[in-house]
Order: sequence, then structure tokens, then C-alpha cells
Amino acid sequence: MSRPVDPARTEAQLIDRIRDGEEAALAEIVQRYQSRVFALIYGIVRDRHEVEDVAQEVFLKVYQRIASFDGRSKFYTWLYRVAANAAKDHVKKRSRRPAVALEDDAVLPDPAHGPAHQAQRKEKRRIVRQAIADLPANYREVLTLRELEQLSYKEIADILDLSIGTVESRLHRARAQLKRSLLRHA
Amino acid sequence: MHDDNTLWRYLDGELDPTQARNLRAAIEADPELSRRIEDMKLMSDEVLAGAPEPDEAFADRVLAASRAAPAAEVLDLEQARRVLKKVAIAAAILAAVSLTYLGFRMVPEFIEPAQAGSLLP
Repeated sequence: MSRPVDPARTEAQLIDRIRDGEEAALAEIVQRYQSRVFALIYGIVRDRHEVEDVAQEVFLKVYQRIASFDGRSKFYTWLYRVAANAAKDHVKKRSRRPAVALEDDAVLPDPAHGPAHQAQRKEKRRIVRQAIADLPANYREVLTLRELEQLSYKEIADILDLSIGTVESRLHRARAQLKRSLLRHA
Repeated sequence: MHDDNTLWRYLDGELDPTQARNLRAAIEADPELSRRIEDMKLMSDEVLAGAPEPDEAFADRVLAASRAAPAAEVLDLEQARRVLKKVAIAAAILAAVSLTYLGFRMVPEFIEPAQAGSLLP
């Protein structure tokens, strides 16, 4: 199995090598971005068990369509666009089966606060998680990109090929919907 | 009173430095504002909470999949779209030139009888 051998290679060099069909270069790109691509897909798809299949599809598309990456934008912009589109397509194919919000079983206790506060926070997290799963995929997309790497509104707009105003509007509406869910359960 | 939009812009790092500094001071001084910010951060944290991590063999599985679907056999949709766009532009130009040419060819047929009529006694 060919493995990445030179971590010092720049992204542009790796992309050129992928164009030439070098497996090690593809493996290097996968390893550099796989965690972020998994997170981005999860943010939109909201089902841990479906993330890997979509991620594999994303990197396969990168390999197959690398010729269409012209280098005018940053590589991550192009990659995140491919990933977000694949995740939204997956949600569409899943049709009307609602996304399932997972139980929050990985929350560490916070010793700075009492049990009542912790229980309240845990309940809030459960409500918010379900509310996120209930959002339209377009809203989850902008929320996820925002949280993924603290991307600016401008960067999110570039990735999704939207205006900054549309990004702000979707973020605003998504968060307002989450807030309403919290208030309903307060 | 701070509206949610301003607070979110603060958390998103989209306020200018002076506005951000003033708001930070207000949050520190106001427990209610601080509680609102805490709830907002909780909303943000939950977006990616629970995201799975790839296992060590994930890259190998991608490589195996790439061997099964070589790039040459796959239609590059982006490239195809660009080619189709160029063909469409060329077809539009050709149509415009043809129509113009036909137009000039047909005009004399309409003019000539009139001109001919004016020459009649």
C-alpha cells in the first residue's frame, strides 16, 4: 500500500501529483482533511453511521474531478463545497426519514457547577441537538461551516457560492429557530 | 439591550475591535447577558458535538475505491459543463450571423416591388 512519504510537500504539489495519478498524494490529502470532512458531513447529515460512506464518496470525487480544480480558489474551498454538496445530496436521497439526534452520552461532568446546573445543561444540549437535526439542510450547512473552523461569513459565502447577506440570513434564521426550541422547553 | 444578531456577530468574530471590546466589558458586568452568551455558545458547540473521527484505515479504503473507479472512466461534470457552455455560445453566435445574413437577403425582395411600382407609369 502506498503511503504519504513527504509531509513537507505543499498542497499545490500534492494536487499536481494527484492529477498524475499518484496514490500517495491522494492518501496525503485524505489524511490532512479527513477529520474536517467527517465533521462537515456529520454537521449536515446528523447520523454518525452514514458519515464514512459520504466521506469516501467525497474523496473519490476529489480524485475523479481534480482536473476541474483550476487553482483560482483555495483547495479547501473547493473540497468543502464538494463535501457540503455530497452531504446535502445524501440528505435528499434519504428522503423523508428524519435525521436522528443522538443521545448525549459523551458529556464530561463539569466540577465547577453543581449537579442541578449540569442536569439543566445536559437537557439543553439534548434539546439543541434535536433542534439542529430538525433544521433544513441549507441551514445546517452554514452553521456547520461556521463552527468547523470558525470560518468567516465571507469564506462561507465563497464555499457555497452565495452572497454574504444570504449566509448571514441563513445563520440568523437557523439560530433563531434553535433559540425558539430552547425557549419552548424552558 | 443587546439584540441576538449583535451577540452572534460578536461570537462569530464579525464585530469590529472596538465594538467587540465594549461588548466583552458589558458581558463581564451583566450576569443576564453572560447567561445568554453561555446559551449561544452551547448552541454552537452542539453543531459538531458527536462528530465521528475516521479510523486509521479510512485512507486505504479511499485508495481502494479510487482503483475501482479510475478517473479516466468518469465523466467530469464540471469540464463537461464548461464545454457545453462554449458550444452553446458558438451556436448562438452562428444563429445570430445566419439570421442577419438571411435578413439582408430578404430585405431587397420587399423593397424591390415597391421601387418597381414607383417606376410604373
